[in-house]
Amino acid sequence: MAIVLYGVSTYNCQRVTSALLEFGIEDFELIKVDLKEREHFSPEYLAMQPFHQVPVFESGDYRLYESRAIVRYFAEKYKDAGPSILGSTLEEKALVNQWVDTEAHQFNDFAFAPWSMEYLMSWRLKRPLDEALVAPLYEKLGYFLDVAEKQLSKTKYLAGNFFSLADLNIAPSLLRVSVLQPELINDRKNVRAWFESITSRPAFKKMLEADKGWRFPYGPFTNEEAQKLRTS
Amino acid sequence: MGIVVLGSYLSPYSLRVLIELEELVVDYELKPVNIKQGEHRTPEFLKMQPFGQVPVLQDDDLTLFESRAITRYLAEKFDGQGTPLLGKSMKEKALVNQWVEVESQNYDRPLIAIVEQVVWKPSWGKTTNEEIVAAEMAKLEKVLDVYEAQLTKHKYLAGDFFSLADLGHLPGTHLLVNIGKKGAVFADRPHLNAWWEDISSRPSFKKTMAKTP
Repeated sequence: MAIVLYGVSTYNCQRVTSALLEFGIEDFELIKVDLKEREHFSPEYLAMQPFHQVPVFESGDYRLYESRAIVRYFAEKYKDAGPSILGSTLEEKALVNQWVDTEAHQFNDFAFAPWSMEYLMSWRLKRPLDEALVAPLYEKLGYFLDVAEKQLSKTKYLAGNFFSLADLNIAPSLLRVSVLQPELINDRKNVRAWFESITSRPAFKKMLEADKGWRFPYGPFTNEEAQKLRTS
Repeated sequence: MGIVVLGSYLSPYSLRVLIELEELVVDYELKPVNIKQGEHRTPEFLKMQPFGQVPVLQDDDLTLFESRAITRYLAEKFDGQGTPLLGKSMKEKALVNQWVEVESQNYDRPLIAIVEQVVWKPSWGKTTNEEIVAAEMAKLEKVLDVYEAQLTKHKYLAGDFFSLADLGHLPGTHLLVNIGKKGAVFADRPHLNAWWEDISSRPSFKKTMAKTP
């Protein structure tokens, strides 16, 4: 059954694309949903994803949304393609899930998502950054990365000495952190090494290539600088 | 040693785990963490849970945090006893996971924002911000419309079987509807309302809530 992924360029879409590529699946169609044109509010799209969000996974009649549910499905379905990114024992799986949820809540919901959204809005609307909004979120990001720094002094990856769903899920977001405020990553030795490792994986690089329309839209980057990011 | 849950009856995230343990027919010990006195911010607690939150699960050598990671672990560990919660086929399991994510990303956020205003703030002697309540209710109602459409097609969220996805909604919705008195938005949506009546009449839920002060 042909695989179709709806949604490109956002960090949660990139999460799904990189997951598919991790499992050696290269034969899929990547379809842009034009968020600026509010394509995600069209009746056709809402029939697929009633919360008007990207991404959506489709294979024949079967559709799935919520990027973290989609990547989990891939990890189960393609379990035999390589070492399990879900973890092998019950305890390993539990720790993977703990870090997947920590990324979702402590990193993404409480810090990264609103923080990066403010950068996007200030660039798009050509207005200054709301410092009062950004400053406490920056602190929360720092706190999360301090916790990660400590964990990564004990294990090579977040949930253990194996690359897992937790590392996969955070990688596209961390790329944006590294461009917006690189010191958040560079000032933390273990975080920096881990970041280099997870963003230099072949699947991650292939994902950036596959997402051909992707450029870093948060400015003030010239297209040249963004291009460098895409091909480095 | 057995299952130990460090948590609080005041926390919907702790309650989620306790309700599940009842569904799975698993004995547990609850070690209360005194949120009001800041016990979740002490150095000892932060060593276990660096973000200072409840619940935390202890199962022999394993210490685990994040309520949905805990509930997933317990459902996998005790698969085969009590209520099956994860779905059977890979596709069913994925749909359960999808609706767990929907609860986490779309439902819980406006719900907790409303509960904070109409339940928790008054309990701390603070005033409800009605503007926030109105704004968040508007967001929640849009989500409830999607739920109503889904529950018109199926008895439960991920299909015609009760799952972890439905269970996760119990404690928060109880706070919103029963304590916060915001049940009208459920009553207005017949399938959503029927689903709520159904899941909140489950013995696991009643038994757990009977223990809360």
